[in-house]
Amino acid sequence: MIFWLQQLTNGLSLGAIIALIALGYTMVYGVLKLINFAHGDILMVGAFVAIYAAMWAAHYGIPVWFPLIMPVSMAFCAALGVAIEFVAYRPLRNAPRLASLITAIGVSLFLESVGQWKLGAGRHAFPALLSDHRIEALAERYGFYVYVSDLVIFASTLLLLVALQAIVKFTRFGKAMRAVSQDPEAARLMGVDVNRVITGTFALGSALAGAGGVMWGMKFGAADPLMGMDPGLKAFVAAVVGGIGNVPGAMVGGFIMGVAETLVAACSIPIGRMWGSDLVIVGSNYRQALGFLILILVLLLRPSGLFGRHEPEKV
Amino acid sequence: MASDPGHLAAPVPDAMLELQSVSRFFGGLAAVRNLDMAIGRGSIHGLIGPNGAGKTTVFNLITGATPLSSGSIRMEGREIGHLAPHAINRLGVARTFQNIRLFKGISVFENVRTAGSWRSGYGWIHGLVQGYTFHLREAELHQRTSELLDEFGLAHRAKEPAGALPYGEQRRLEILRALATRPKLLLLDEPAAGLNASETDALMQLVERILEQYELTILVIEHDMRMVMELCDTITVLDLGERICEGDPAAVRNDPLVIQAYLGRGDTVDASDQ
Amino acid sequence: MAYRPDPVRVYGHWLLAAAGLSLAAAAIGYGIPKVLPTFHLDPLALGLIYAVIALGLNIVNGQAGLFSIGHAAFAGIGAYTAGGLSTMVGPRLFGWGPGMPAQLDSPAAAVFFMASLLAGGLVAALFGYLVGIPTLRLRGDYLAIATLGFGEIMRVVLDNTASLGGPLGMHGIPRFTTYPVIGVALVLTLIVCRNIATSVPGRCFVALREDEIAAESLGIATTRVKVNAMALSAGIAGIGGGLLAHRLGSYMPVDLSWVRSVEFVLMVVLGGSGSITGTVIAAITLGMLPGEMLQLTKWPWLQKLIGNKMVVYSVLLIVMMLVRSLWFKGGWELSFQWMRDSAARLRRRLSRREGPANG
Ligand SMILES: Nc1ncnc2c1ncn2[C@@H]1O[C@H](COP(=O)(O)OP(=O)(O)O)[C@@H](O)[C@H]1O
Ligand SMILES: [Mg+2]
Repeated sequence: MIFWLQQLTNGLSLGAIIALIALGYTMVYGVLKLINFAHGDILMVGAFVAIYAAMWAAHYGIPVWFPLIMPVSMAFCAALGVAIEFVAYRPLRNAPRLASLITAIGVSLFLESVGQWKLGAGRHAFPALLSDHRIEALAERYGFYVYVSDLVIFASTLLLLVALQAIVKFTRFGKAMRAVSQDPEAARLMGVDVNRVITGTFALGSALAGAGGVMWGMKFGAADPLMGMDPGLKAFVAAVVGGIGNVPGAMVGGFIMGVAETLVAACSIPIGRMWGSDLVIVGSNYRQALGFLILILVLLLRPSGLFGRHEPEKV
Repeated sequence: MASDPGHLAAPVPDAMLELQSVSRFFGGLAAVRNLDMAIGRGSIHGLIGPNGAGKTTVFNLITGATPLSSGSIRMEGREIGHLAPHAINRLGVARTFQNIRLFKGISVFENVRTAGSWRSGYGWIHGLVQGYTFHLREAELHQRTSELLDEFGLAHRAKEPAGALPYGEQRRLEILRALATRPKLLLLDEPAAGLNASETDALMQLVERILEQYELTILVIEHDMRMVMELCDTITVLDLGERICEGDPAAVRNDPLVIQAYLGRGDTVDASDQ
Repeated sequence: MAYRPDPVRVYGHWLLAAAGLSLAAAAIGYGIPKVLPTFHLDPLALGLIYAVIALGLNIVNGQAGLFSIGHAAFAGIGAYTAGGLSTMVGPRLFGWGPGMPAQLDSPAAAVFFMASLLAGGLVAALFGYLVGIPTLRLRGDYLAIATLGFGEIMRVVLDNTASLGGPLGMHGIPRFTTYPVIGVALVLTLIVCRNIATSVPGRCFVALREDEIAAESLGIATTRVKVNAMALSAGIAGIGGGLLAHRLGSYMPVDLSWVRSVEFVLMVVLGGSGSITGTVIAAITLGMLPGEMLQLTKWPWLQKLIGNKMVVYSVLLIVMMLVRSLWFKGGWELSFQWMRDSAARLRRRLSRREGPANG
C-alpha cells in the first residue's frame, strides 16, 4: 500500500512538471496551429542557464537559491522562444503546415547539436538549489519518503499553473490569446494585434519550459544537451491527450502521463513461461511506449483529445 | 409553423427522390424537421428559404454527408438514408457545394477527369500494368472529359489550376465536375451566388441545357428569385427546418406564409427587387 | 466515333519503355560502379535505397496528403522481416554459415532473397493496413502524431524483444544489396509509383489531398482509398527497409525512431510533396549527405569551416524551408510529355526570334 502511495506521489510530482511543459505546446498550438518541436530543447537551454547562473552566483558570492535562479532561466528562455518564433516561424506563417513543422524540427536539431558541440555530449551535474531534506516523521513511521525539494517543486509548479490559468482567463492578453486561437482572422478584424499575441504566447510558453527545465534538472540531478527530448515528447503527448490547444486539458494530460508512467514503471507482469524461462513484461522497459499507447487509445476514442472540441468539418 | 395542407402540391407520380419525415438535429437545434418532399423525374425542383432554414442540411442528408436523425430517403425507390456519400453518388446523385469545393491545386481537366474516374472501367492492376485495356479506357475517359469541357466552354482553361479560375467559371466547373459522374439527380447549392446578372443568365441556360441533354432531374437551392421563378417547375419553401409551402412558382409567390417568412427577416421574394 | 488506341502502338510503346527501363536498371547496376570513384559508392547506394523508401512515403505524404511520421517503422518492419529470413531461414536452406560472407551464388538463393524482400514489403503493408484502419479517421496533425506514436511503440517493442537482438538489433545480415539489386528495385519502384500516379488510383489519392468531402461526394470511397494508400506506401517502405538491412548488414531499433521518419518526410517535402522526380532527387541528395560529409576529412580546411555537421545540417534545414523557392515545384515530373512540351516551347521561342529578323 505504502509502495503504491509512494509511486503515486512520485507520479504526481513528475506529472506536475510534465503539465508545465505541456502548457507551452498547447498554447503555441492554440494560436499558431504549430507543433513546436523545439519546445523540449528550450527546456534543455533553461536547465543549462540555471547551471551557469548558479556557477556565476557562487563565484560572486550570491546565494544559490532556487527563487533567484529560476526567474533567470525563465527570462532567458522567454527571450529565446521569442527569437525562435521571429527568425524561424514568422516567415512561414502562410506556408503549408508541413513546412513550419519541419522548420520546428530543424530548430530542435539546431539547439541539440549546438548544445552537443559547445557543451559536450556528456552529463552535467545539476547544482542543488534546494535542500535535500526529507520529512523524517513520515519516513520513520511509514517508510514513506517525501523530500522537501519535491514538495517545493510541486508547490511552485502548481503556483505557475494557477498563475497561467489566471493570465489566460482574466487578463486582456489572455482574452486576446483565446480569441486568436479560436479564429485568427476574426481576432485581427476585431483589432487584436495577432503578432503581439503570438510573441507573447511564445514568451509565456518558453518561460514555462525554462521553469520545467530547472525542475527536471533538480529532480534528476543532471542535464545534458539531449535531455529535452524525453520530457518534450512526454509533454507533447500530454498536450495531445488533454486536447491540444486546451490549457486545462494539458494540465490533466500532464498528470495522467506522470502518474501512468510511474505506476507502470513500478510493475512487472509475468506472462508465462517460454523456452524454459519466465517471461516477464518489465514495466520500466516499456515506459517510453506507454505514453504513446495512451495517446493512441485516447485519440481513437476521442479524436481531439480528452478536452478538445471535436469539430466535424462543415460542408 | 406546421406545414399547411392547403399548400401541398399534388402527389408526384414518378418520383426520382422521395424524402419521408426526414429530421436532423444538431444538439437541441432542429436543422430539418419532419420534412416530406418528392422530386419528379425530369423536373427542376427549387428549394428556397431564408438563411439558416436548413436547405444545405437537406442536401447533406440526401448526399449522406450528414447522417439522418430520423426519416427515410429513397432514390428511385431505393432506401439511401444509411449509405456513405460515395455510394449515394454511385447510385446517381451528384452535388455542388455552397462554398465551392473544387480540387483547387490541380488542373481544370484533372478536376473533371478525377470525378469521372470511378466509372473508368478498369482496376488498379490495369493501372499498374498499363496494357491495352488501360489505354482504351483512359482514351474513353479522356474523350468524355474533353467533350464536357468543350461543350461548356472551359476547354481553353483545361490546363489551368482550378483555384486560379474566376469565380463564375469555378461555379461552372463545379457543375461540370458533378456531371462527370453521370448523375440522374443533380443538386445545386446556390449556383448563382456571387454571379452578376449576365452570368446568372448564362447559368440558367446551362441548367436548362444539361437538364435536356443529360436527362437529369435537378434540385436547386437558390436565393435569386428571378432564377428560381423562371427555372423551377416546383418549389419547396423551408423555414426554420420545416416546410411551409410547396407548389408551382405562382402559388409560392403569393403564399402569405412565404411572404411572411421572408419579409419578417427583411428578405424579399419579389423578382422585381433583384 | 470513339477513338480507339492502336494496339500495335500501345504495345510498341510498352515494349520500348520496358527496354529503356531495363537499360536504366543496368546503368545503375553495372554502369555507376564502373564510373564512380569507389568512395562515393557507399553513400550513393544509401541514397538510392532511401529513394525507394521516400517514394513509398511520397504516396501518402505527397499525393494523398496524409501526414505520416511513422515510415521509419514500416521500413524497419520490412528490414526485420527480410533480415530475419536471411539470418534465420537462409542458413538452413543454403548453408550460409555465420562469419562467412554469404553470396547469392545460386538462382535459388537469389529467388529466396527476392522473396524475403517481398515478404518484408507484405508484412509492412499489413501493418500499414492495420494501423491505417483506426488512425486514418484522424485529421492532419493528429494522424501525424498517431503514426509517430505507432513508430515509437514498434521501436520500444523491438528494444525489448530479446529474440530479435534487443537494443543491439539484428546483426550479420548478408550484404546482398549490391548495385544491380538496387538498380532493379529502384526502377521497379519507380514504375509502380509512376503507373499508380498516372491512373485512377493515383487520381483518387490526389483528390483525397485536395478535398476529402468533395472527393467522397464524387463517388470516391475515401476511407478505402486512404487505407489502400497507407498499405501500399508502407509496403514500398518495407521493401526499401529490406534492401537497407541487406546493405548495412545490421538493423537496430533506433533505426525505427521518429527522428529517422522525419528524415524521410524531409525528402518528400524537399522533393516538392507529390513529385516523384523531386522525391528521388531529394532522397539521393539527403541520403548521400552524411556519407559525403565523412569524406570531408580529406579537406581539413573545409571541415573546419563546416565545423559540426549536425549544426550545419539543421541550419540548412531551416534555411531550405525559409527559402522555399529552392524547392522542386510540386507536381512537376520529368516525363515524356514534359520533354515534348518543352521541346515545342523551345522551337516556338526560336522561331519567334527568327521571325522578325527574317521579315
Ligand atoms: N454541422 C453542423 N453543426 C451544427 N449546426 C449546424 C451544422 N450544419 C448546419 N447547422 C445549423 O443548421 C441550421 C441550418 O443550416 P443550413 O442548412 O446551412 O441553412 P441554409 O443552407 O438554409 O442557409 C443553421 O442554424 C446551422 O447553424
Ligand atoms: Mg446553405
